[in-house]
Amino acid sequence: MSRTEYMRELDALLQGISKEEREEAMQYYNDYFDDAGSENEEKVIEELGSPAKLADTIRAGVNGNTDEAESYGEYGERGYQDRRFDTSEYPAGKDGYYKDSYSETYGESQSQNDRNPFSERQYSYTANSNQGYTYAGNQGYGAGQTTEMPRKKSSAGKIILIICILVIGLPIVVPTALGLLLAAFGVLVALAISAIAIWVAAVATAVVGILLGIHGFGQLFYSPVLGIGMLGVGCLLLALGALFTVLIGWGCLKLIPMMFRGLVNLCRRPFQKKRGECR
Amino acid sequence: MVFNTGAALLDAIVLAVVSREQEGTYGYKITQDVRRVLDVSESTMYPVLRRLQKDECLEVYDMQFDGRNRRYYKVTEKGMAQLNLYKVEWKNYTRKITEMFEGGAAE
Repeated sequence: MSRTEYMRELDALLQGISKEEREEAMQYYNDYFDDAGSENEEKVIEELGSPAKLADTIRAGVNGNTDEAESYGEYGERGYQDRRFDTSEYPAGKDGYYKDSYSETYGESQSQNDRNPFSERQYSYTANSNQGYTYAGNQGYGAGQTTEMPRKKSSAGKIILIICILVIGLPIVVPTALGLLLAAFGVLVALAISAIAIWVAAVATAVVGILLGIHGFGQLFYSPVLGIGMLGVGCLLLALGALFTVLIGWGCLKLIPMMFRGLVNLCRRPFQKKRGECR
Repeated sequence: MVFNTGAALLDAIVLAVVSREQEGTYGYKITQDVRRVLDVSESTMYPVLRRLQKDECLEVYDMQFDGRNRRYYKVTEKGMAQLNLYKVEWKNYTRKITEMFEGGAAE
């Protein structure tokens, strides 16, 4: 095959890509032949490989974004290797990994100077030795998997544990919580009624104290001793009644919100407890 | 060579080769220069040069030579920055590997 034939065939094979890209590539390889000199023509043709292969390489660089082509391709002893055209030894999903590794190791290095383009992952596919390319890639992929696996397993175990706790705990937790709730409600009602009773008693005591005081004042003129005694007891009762009335009133104002808060916390407790066990 | 060359390393080598020529250099010469250190096939260079050009690491211009237009490649400022980054990374990388190979005498 002569150079002219080679280039004509290449041009025909590059019809799929844009005119600009095609002309660019054609100019490059025309230059290449010119600079290699006519004496090297055959050698160059042999080196470049078939026009179809060369066209594939050019198209791989052009199609989509060039980064992608780069991530599939690799340069080594056997020249440019493109995994997309070499389907034999690669398990499915591998390309995805390579793409990731590429974007992590190289793609962002321009913007992030602290990123290492030659990071460990890159190493996994550049530093494979005699075993060949295919192994290094798989190794890298496998390594990625092993770090992923335990995390998945533990989260699955967690879910199973939660379900177990729910299934076993539900018949115990629900009635217990209900019982506690009702008990708390009962205590609250009892306390409220007691408070009201004491308050009524206190008010009554105060009223009795006032009445006794008035009566004692009236009695002062008839029987001073009895009058003073009644007045004193009346004052005492008034003081006690007033004190308890104020105390109960203040207690209710403070205690009722506190009790409600306590009740709400009690209701929340079983759920919090369960959540705590999951962790 | 038993070690394969990753895309980033090839980029770095190409940038280094092109940056050595003040006036720029052309495809065939770049390929020959790279092939002196790296066993890559001749078809490898074009996609790399084209991509570096698109990434604005390389710029191209045509110059008369021998009665025809020859396309020259020159490293841009961005390309120089990228090359310097590669050089630093390469130094770190090889230092670590060397330390590993030689029994970690340092550190």
